[in-house]
Amino acid sequence: MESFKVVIDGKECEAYPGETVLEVAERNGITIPVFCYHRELRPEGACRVCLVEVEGAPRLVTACTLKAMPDMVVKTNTERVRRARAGVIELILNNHTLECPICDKSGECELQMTGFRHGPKKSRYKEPRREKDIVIQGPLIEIDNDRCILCRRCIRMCGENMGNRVLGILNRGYRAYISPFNGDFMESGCEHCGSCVDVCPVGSLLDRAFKYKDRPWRMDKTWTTCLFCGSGCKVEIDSYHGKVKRAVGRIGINDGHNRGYLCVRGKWGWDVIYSDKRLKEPLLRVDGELRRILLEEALKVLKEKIEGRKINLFLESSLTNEELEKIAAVFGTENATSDSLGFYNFLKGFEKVKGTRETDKFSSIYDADAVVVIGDFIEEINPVVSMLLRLAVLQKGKRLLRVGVFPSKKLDSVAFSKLLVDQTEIIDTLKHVILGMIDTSYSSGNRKIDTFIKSLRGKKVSFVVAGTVFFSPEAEEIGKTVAYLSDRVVGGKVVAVPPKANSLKVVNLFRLKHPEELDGDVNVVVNGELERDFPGVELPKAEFTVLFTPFYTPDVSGADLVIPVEVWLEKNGTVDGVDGKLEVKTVLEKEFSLLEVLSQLPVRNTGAESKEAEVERVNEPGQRLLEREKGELLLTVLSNRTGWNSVSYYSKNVAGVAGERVLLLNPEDAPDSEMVKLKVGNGELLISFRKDSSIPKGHAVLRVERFTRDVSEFLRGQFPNLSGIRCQIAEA
Amino acid sequence: MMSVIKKVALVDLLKGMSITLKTMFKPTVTVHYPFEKVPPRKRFRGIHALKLNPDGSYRCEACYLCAEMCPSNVIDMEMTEGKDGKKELVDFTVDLTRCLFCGLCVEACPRDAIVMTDIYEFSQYTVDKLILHKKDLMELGRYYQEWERKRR
Repeated sequence: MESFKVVIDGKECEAYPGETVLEVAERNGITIPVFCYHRELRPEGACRVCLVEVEGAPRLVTACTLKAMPDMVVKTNTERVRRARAGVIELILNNHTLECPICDKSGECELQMTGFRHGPKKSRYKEPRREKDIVIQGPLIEIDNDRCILCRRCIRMCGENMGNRVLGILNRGYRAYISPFNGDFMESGCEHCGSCVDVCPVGSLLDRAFKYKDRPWRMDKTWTTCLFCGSGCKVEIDSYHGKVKRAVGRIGINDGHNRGYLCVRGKWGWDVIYSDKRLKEPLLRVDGELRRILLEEALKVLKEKIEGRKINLFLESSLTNEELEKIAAVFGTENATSDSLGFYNFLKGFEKVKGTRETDKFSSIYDADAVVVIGDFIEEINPVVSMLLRLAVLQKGKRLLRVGVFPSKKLDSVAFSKLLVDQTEIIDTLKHVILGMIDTSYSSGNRKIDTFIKSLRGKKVSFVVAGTVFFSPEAEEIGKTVAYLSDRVVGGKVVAVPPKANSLKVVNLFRLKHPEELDGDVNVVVNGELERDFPGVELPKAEFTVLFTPFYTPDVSGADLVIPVEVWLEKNGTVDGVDGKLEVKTVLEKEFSLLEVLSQLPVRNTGAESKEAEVERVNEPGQRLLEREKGELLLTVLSNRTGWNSVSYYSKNVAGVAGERVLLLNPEDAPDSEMVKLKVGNGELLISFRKDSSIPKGHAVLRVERFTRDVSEFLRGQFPNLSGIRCQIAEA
Repeated sequence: MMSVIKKVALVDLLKGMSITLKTMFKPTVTVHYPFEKVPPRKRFRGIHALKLNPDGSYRCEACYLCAEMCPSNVIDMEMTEGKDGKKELVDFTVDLTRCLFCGLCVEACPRDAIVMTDIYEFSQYTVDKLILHKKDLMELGRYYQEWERKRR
């Protein structure tokens, strides 16, 4: 793009077409005060505080909406501008409550700051202050309308960027106030991502978990990485005197790949460390009963039990690199399984075609013209990734194409084209796309697929694989197909969004097996919960079971030795995330540390480090594996956004917004009764259902708040599959 | 010769006694501290107190401005959301071992909640007793109010 010159305050600034005056000024170090403008939002010009003088224009103009033009002469600091600015701020402050001493925003409040810098020094207003006195309390968010300056940042964030349209302005004129639909957050479908709280320039939208808990400026601020899912979001943890007070994303300031966007887990799940289910002491089974022991004794027992034994390693993949390397050294890498097994299968298929297991960084999608998203329920498994994909369309003008089974609220509204097919036909559809990319005259016989192919031709394409793909029985085949397809398009970057924070490291470090193939003598479960991370798996028969866990999980009752460990909020280290190496930092003190425990164990002499088995290369896309007989449904079991990693179970904040267990069925598949009996192999589950026309025919979605024992037993033998499970349905 | 006469006539003694007799009927100046105490001046800055409302509740709203103003980092507080939805003070600590009694905290308070009493005797046998908590400060607040009423 060709740049041109703009003169702002006598300084010659370089500007590019499409930029606003405010953006040019910001880049050149000229500050213009703003309220309604935000870097991540569409400019609106609602607050009028960014008024500037343009030579030749009769009136003052708002800098945030004014596009820079060649040879423009802008003045931001003349007497006329200063007076107008002070006048606007005076008008805003007239009806703003003077609650700074108790307001939680004070100290980082933009109105406070701008008022001090640019505001009038006194008010001429003599009337009594208008009191709206409308406070809307949700389970996690509170709106205090007395403090609101109606900048509409939250509305744009919620409606446009997040695609939820929960918040809006009710009434008109001086009675106008911000409210979710019907005044109720839960009813209006708020997903509690906390972005509105983050962008509010005043203390109107409040984090209820933080309300009156602390003062913003006195806390220790630590930038760390949230390990609740594979998105690996950069988040600021604020703590005071070693106690976590809140987590903030800081949209617009955050330089992580998530740009400050968080989800309900990252924003409010921090209180898992204060859960009353936290494990405080090591436990040892003596005569069939678990007794409290000292850590030194526990270590002694552990050393004895694992010495020279083959170990069945059950890994949960939110551990840091340092811990995983230590685990590999102490317990060996050969006989291990993990909840990332599906992800491992996908990468295995990918490697067979590509020859490498390396996928691209998430930021590589910004280089492409078109982004093909493969997978469903990304907004449940990696919520922030789906937000970023949405923003790639809205802010960067990428072309988003979806291949999947279920409609997605977040992505479908911005998708350029979407291919929603039966789950059995995913691979066949991708094969059609491959053929279409090779042969320009190819016709699949399906108009939808043909237009899909047409919109990809000649474009630089990136692929994002995420969500349920890794939990499908076809993971390996989809891996092959995507790898094959990516070799046949321009660009052809593939981003595999790991389901858990450090799945990549686990996959690269350990040689994962299916739990049934494990043949060791001692079970070691690290950080995991059997029902949650390995649904449908029973611990293999072993002499001894060791459990490393931060919480009293249901597995504690079956373990012989339980050693408490820390939660990620108390860890230092790195993880291999979706966007390269991510740092985990903390200032908190911990009682027990997994790394310390492991470093006191003897390093296993693996002798000849067995090399990674050579992968046989194939040069063809994958094969369709899923078949469905008549009367069968393909079931997807999905842990709710809040329940992922059991956050809603251990965090009191998130528990307030946790979803419930429900089966979603297409109205045509649904029986007449109120309850249905689901059958998978030997497992049975009695459950109430809801008719949902967005679920395609022949599919069913079981949404659970968290994986409990009955769900795990129902899924016996299905691990690692959580999607594409063949099931029957019967009236109950 | 003169010195002998002086000694015989007890001149020195009488000189001394004259001063004794002069001051004997004047009011005493020496204060027998700690049995007697000098009342401090009106604007004396003694140890802190949390002023109370007439109904016995504290006035402090935990805005943390006093602690922000404090040059020697004396004040710390914890706060939370009370049951009635108002801001509640969990703990208010004043570390007297570090305090230099400059009175900036009193100047900073927007609610006139923290005040300085006339108490200057607060030596203790252990250091931890020198750290005043919310309860102690409210007790002192009650004393302060009594003292203020008397002063008027």
